[in-house]
Amino acid sequence: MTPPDRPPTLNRKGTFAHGLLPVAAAYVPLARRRIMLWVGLGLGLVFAAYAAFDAGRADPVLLSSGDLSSAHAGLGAQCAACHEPGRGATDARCIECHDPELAPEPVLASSATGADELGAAATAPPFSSWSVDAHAARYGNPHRAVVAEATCSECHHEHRGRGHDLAATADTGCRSCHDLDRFAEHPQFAALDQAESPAPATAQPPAAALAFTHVFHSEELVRSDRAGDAAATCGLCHVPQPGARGFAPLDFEAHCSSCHLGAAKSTEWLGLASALQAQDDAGAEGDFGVRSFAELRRALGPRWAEELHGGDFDERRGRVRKRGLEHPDPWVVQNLAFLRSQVYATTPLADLVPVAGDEDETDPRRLYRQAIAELEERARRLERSAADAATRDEARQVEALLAAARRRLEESSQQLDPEAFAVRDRMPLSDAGRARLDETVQALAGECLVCHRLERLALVRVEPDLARFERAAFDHEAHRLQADCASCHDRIPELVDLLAGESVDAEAAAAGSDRAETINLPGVARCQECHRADEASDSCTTCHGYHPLSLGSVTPRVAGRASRSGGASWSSGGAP
Amino acid sequence: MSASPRQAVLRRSRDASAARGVFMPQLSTWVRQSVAGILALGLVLTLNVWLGELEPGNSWSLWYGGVAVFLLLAALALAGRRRAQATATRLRLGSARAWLDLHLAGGVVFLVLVLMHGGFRWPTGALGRLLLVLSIWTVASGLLGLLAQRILPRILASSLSVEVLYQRADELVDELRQRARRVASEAGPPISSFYESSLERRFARLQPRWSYLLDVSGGRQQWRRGFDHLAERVDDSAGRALSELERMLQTKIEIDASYSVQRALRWWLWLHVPTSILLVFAVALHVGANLYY
Repeated sequence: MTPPDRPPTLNRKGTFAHGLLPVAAAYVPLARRRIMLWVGLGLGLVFAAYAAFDAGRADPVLLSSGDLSSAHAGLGAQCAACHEPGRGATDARCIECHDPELAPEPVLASSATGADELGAAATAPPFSSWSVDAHAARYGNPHRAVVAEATCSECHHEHRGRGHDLAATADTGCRSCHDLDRFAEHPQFAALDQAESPAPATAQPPAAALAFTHVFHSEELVRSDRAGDAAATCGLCHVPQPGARGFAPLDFEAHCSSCHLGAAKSTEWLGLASALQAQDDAGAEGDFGVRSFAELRRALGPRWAEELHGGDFDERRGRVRKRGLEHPDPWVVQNLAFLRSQVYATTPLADLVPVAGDEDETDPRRLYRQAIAELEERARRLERSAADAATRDEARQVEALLAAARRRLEESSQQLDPEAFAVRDRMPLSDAGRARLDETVQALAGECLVCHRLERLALVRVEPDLARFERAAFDHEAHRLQADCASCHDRIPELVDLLAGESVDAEAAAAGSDRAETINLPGVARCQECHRADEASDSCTTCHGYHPLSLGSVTPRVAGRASRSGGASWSSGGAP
Repeated sequence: MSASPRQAVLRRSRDASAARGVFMPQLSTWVRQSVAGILALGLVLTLNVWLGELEPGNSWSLWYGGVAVFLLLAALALAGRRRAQATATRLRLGSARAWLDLHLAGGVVFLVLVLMHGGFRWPTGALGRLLLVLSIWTVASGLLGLLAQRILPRILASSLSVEVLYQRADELVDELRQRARRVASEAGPPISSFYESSLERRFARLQPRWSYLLDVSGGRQQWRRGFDHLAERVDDSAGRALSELERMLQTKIEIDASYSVQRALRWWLWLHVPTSILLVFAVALHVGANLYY
């Protein structure tokens, strides 16, 4: 700028550079940068206007956080189906659909039958039929007690695209409570840990309900041409379920009846209790007898005997014998109960539940569950066999009442009295009296005792669908593609040899580990051979669900965030 | 000759600075702040992965997002600080240098926090993708501008003999064109012919080029060949006119180069400022939508 009071000749001095450029003749105003701010604000306002327009569209693009998973794809752009203004995606909105009360009938049926206690956790219904709160109340989901503040969306992340698996959650959530950093540190399975524990109380595996040997039966099946070789015999009894995750429950009619019981079998001759009573009155030594078909029919009513026929019984000189034995045989079962009532003082509930061991007495809730299951089984049997519609209706009502009783049992925290199932000796038996009792029981139920075990004169309940992995899901089909049965189930060496085509001494095997007590499961180390980093998946959710149906609880790492009362550790949970 | 106490102090200070330069490189404040921030975030990230899950939407992620928004607003405050110099000085709100350091370091840490907020994954939603792209663009353009401000002034100072006021460049080119035309016409052929065929288009207008950022000489060796070729074939008076035209062309090219470099120094802000404002709008929409839904 040239000051106005300076002479114009000054301009000649105002040059620079080789080109002798002149200095400015006047002040040069600098360009302002404010326009950049206005352009930025303009862009922002256009963006905001588009966002407002987009929000009003049926299928907003800008405001969407991404595509929903395929499970929720049907919801499309209905944001309000999951989101509540100001609250986000709430559990309440999830439960509007994921609620067992609204779920299809089969799901309700499976959860109402107590299938979880029979191991349905391994074949649990899909999560779409589950509700966290409902199951927490009904089945006591241990996680709900530990992390009550957790919401569905904290673990199940949406808007990750159609292919995203909502159920796949990271292990870090599990590790925040469970003292386990990776699968390689996974403790031994509870079922095996109980059997292998060095502690005296659990050093022996629990007695099995059945006497069964695999080697003998496998050899018999090959010998009778029902299987080409031993390796093919596994699948004759362990039949994959539809979907093939697990196996269909073992069934006497399908798997055992061709050799066991039937019309050719009969009881031995047994003294009638009425005749023996007359002898006692005459001063003879006391003995144990049974009740005849006619006596029981008079005492229990004609319906009890609808499946029996008087012609099946031989009676002569105060003794009786039944020809043709069913499974279960009502006459044998009733007479076993009759003998039991003579020797033991029982309760009505105890009559329903055979006591399998002392440990059961410490868990009255389990005894109640068994009693309810027994009553439900009887009601179903009655419903199936009843000829008249009125009886079937009554049986259904009984089933409904039992289902309600089961729900109350699970939802109640009330202390239960194990004395309701107490079984005590009525009278002390001499050695001779005990021998006579055993002789009578053997004559009555000898054919049953080929396989079954008695506990205080009650047949120990058999779990036909016993799941050893109660807290985890195991897909047999996926693993059968990788290996044959014996490569994992190798706890009976003789059976492994037999399946490999070698000859085996069945008696020696039975004296060894080939018994029903043997839990023929591979240890966790076998799983860890393949399930590890960079190989088969080793995440927690590969096998475990956060919402288990069963009650096995775990020890949280965080002190004070206690698990359920009496919460067992990883290695000592509920019954296998 | 013994040094005065003041000279001794200055020498010790120089020696100490030299020692620091050898053993501890002199890093800008914002670089040190950025490195410290990133290291701190690395520690937090390690804790996050150890204790929880690196997952958008969880409480860890919300904290990252919240701090990122705070840093974005803090970085944005530099613009306000510039427009309220007097107030900032009166209220002792810190020096402009400190605010610029906060702007730079805050921007870098902001981007790291944005990546952590998204779990280091490509977002699935359109808004999420826009936010990530804008964040990267804004920080990258800011760093590009910083780089330009470090390099380009050196080019201007060391490689050019003219110092042209950006707004006067057009006027100076006009002046040069008129003078060059006059010199060429006064010299007559062959100088005037040479001017019309080879030089007139060069003087025609301001000719900024990106290539000046790489070579401020504008290909001096190439354009001088024409002058050298003609200089050998003309008499002394025409030679003086030719020399003057050559000086004027060099000045014109330096004006072009200076203008190009100054334009780069000004225009990088167009890459940075409007997108930064758009980013603020997008962040506001993101926060609002998440609070509402």
